[in-house]
Amino acid sequence: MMRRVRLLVLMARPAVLVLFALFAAIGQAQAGLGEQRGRLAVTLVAIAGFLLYSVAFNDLADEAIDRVNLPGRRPLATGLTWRRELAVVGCGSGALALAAAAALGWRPLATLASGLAVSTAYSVRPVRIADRGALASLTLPACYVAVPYLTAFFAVRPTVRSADLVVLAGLYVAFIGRILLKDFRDLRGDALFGKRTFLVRHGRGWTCAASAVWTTAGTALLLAAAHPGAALAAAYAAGWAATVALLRRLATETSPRRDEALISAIAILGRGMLLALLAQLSTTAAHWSAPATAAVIAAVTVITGGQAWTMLTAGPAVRPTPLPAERAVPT
Amino acid sequence: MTRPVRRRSGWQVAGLVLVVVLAVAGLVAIGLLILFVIALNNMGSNK
Repeated sequence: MMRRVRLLVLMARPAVLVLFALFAAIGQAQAGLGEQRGRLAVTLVAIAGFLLYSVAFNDLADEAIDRVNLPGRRPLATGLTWRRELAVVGCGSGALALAAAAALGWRPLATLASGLAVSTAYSVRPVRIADRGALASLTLPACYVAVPYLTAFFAVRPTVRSADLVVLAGLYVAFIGRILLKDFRDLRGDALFGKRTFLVRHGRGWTCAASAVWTTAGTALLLAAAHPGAALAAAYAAGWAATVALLRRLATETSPRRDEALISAIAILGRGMLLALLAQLSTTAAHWSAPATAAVIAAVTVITGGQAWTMLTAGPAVRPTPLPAERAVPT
Repeated sequence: MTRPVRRRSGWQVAGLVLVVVLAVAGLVAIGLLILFVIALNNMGSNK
């Protein structure tokens, strides 16, 4: 029992779950009806189920490659679970996700069902989008951003305006810029197994340049759609400038340790920009004054900027440790 | 699955203060999210 609980916790991947929750909260806030905690909670159940489904089938498809890229950090590759159990967890999580989305209405249900279909096509053969270079870099962010954003949005408002879609496009485009960088960690195994990621095909310099272009376009879209006050505009300008500067350093870096710190710092800045947007949307919906909104955005920006600096200078404070050599099935 | 190797930083303390202020002001959900993001920012996450 405890092993299964542990398996679920490992599969939930806290970083991804928090990111999904962030996109869901932005979706609900963009709907403009204020915090609706009950609906947000059900949305989070739905997207947690979606995440577990996606992780299960991705781990099943990537078992061999994970042994090289992530030794001791994936339950299946380590032997903490076996393929049939992982498939059962995946199917059960998918069913839970659909049930929770159905409780929110047919639009969230349709959104989530589409997300499950795309997620399956991403990992599973014969489609296996994950092996298709640029298409993979475009599809994965769609799952990460659109599914939580639209599920949460449709849970509270049935109609979409063009500005809502421009915000979604901005989030999506900016996230492509970040997801391109995840392949730095996996370079060795990806090259070994013929996984044609953007980094494998085009190299470090072009990957960083492409990331900068996507980040710039996403930031511009968000600024155009969100009608920012001076505080959000300043926060985005600072976040964008720092991100581009870090990408320039990453383009010429030679140490894997420094790669990890730089990419983690870029991710922190990206999450900070998401939090700043969420702060603007939430405080506006709650009828806060402009100075109070600006103060919250400034605080979020300074804190996440400080954490990015700490990451750059000291590296991660907590680092995943390999799973113990515990086996689910006697061998 | 992780091991702490550094003391809580001033940025985390400032973040906790902001979380409390937002929660008291009624924005519980955004406060909780900021809390999780601040905790996540200590990890070497590429997302």
